[in-house]
Amino acid sequence: MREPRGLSSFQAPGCRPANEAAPLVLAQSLRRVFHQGGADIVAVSDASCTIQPGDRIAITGPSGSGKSTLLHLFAGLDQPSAGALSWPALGPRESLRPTQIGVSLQMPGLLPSLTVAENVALPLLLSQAAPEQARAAARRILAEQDLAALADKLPEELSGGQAQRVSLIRALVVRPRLILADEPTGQLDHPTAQHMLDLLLATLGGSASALVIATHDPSIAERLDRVWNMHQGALTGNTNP
Amino acid sequence: MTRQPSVVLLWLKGLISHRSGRLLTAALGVALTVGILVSLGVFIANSAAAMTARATEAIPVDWQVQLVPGTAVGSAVDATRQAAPVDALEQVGYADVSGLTASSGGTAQTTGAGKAVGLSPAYHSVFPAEFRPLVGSLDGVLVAQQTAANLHVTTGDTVTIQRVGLPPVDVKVSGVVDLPNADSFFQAVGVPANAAPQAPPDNVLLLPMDQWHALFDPQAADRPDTVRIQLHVRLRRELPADPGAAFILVQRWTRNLEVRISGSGVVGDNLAARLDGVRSDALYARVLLLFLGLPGVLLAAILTLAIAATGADRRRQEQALLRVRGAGTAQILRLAALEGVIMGAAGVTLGIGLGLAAVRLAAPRSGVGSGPMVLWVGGAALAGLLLSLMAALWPAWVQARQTSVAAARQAVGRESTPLWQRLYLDVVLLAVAAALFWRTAGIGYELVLAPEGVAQVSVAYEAFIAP
Repeated sequence: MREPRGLSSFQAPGCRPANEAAPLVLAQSLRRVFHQGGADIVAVSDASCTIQPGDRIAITGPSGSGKSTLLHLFAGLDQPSAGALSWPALGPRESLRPTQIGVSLQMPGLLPSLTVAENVALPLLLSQAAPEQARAAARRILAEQDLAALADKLPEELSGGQAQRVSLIRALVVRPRLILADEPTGQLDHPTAQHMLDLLLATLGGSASALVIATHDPSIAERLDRVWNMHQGALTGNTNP
Repeated sequence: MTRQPSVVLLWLKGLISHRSGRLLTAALGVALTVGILVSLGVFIANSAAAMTARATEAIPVDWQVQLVPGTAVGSAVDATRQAAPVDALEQVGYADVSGLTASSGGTAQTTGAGKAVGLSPAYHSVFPAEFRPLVGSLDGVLVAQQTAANLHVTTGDTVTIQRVGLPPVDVKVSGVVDLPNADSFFQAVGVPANAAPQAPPDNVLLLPMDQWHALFDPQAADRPDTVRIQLHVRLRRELPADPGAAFILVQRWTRNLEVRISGSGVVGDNLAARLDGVRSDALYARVLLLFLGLPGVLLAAILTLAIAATGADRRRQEQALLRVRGAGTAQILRLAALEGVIMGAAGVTLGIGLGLAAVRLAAPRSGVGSGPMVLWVGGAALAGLLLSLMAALWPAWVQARQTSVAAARQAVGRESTPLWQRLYLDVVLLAVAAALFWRTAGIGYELVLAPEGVAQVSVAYEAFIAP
């Protein structure tokens, strides 16, 4: 397997707020309750944490413990039932995606009617990048990760692992300040999973971008700086450094 | 948002390249709605135009303008030509006579009072429907069939005209004619519309205009109440296809002429009278066609929405993914509208083609291109576009109103069974429909029932439910 390479730099226009020193995410007593079939399911309970620039965090815990829900809250994809959640360094919720926060979900979530290259270019286009620049950047990044052969394929033609890699590259393509990855290696074998993490860490290098990964895999978690644990919606660990 | 078109173009390319089958299916649904609307509209417009054409072509004389004695004919002619587009105009003289006498076979036959009509030489060719030649030539003095029978005369015989207040004069008969439209030819112009109809005279003699003037100008000078001049007018057929609109236009022309010749004459408007009768029939026909056709249009529209709804889960998921990537509500609605417009444009094009082909097949002689037809086709196209936009935009808008992207993603595939499915409403409605069709087929699709031996007719209203 080749040595991982970082992604070439592409800066989406207007994606850097002025407040570089402030926390990226500030959560106080977060609670998320789903109402299903007449019953209340508490997915996240009284979770408080801070994500600072440069953090490398793993969130571990069994299935159904609330990891994905917490990442959705951090990404602004969902709203807490109670508690306070803010992004002091990133701005209001409406401006988080695609430039400030890159999201890679448990399912790859590639748009089926777009090719791989178009899927990767989409966040750039949505962040007002010039079409030619976006297309070129997408192809360059795919080539850097040895995925150039997939550029013109449709998502339905990819294997699960390939789709997951493309999804991760799509999250990174705008070089966001916070990367949230939900089980990014869940569909990969062990060597490929490690390679994927290598890719992520190489891409970030010593940058101030923060990385938060939700994972079951202890070998993934142990390579990150901090490990948070979730159990029945409760978040534990060094959550407020 | 200067770069927004790039996302739109990317989406457009994806739809056309990889989702053309889905688009085509939805477009077929739109085409069905548009096709039914177009064919319905063209049938309605065609039937109205055909009714107008048939009604107006059967009128022998559109206007009979009766002049008050002493009126200058030239100025009345000018006023008529200025009031409306005149295709042909001829003077006709009507003179009362005390009686007609003829001698044949040693006996003399005498009739009661009658009419001597003066006609210009071109009248027979301009208004051919007024006469049907039976014997002899149309040049010279003509005798109406009934009068010829009363007097026992034929071509070459002499008839004596008993003028009012003047000595009798003899004329030689050149031919015998039938007057198929004598009722309107001899109508009393200017009487109230609800007045009792006047029977045409039994004794009629038709003379060349020069001869008529020579014989009856002295009578007009002596007894002006017994002599009248009428202008018989045929208008150019520049009428709207719809009988109602044509009636209004002709009435407007008539009012215009009445104002121009006020005090000098009155107008007998045969054309408006005929259109007045036809316009209510046309309205009835339109209501009937709409009554029968609109359920089909509604069904096709529902079918279109149902076809569009089959891709709702997929669309909802795609929109949720777009929101994850940071697309705003306006962007998502724009992309949904794009899909709707493509679907609509394809459906409308196909639907108009299908509708016109159906019309050509069912009624090959139908004309296409008149104003009402263009309006119907335009209306159908607009309805198709709105329908497809609604099918694409409504679900997108509903989803965009959901509080979070996570909720939208979770909703995919987790919906409970709809109420109509739990109630087996589709099965119940199909059973009811089958029963209705069986019942309608049982009476042979007869809408109006007139059983033998029963005086009263009835309408099988339940037959309208089946469509």
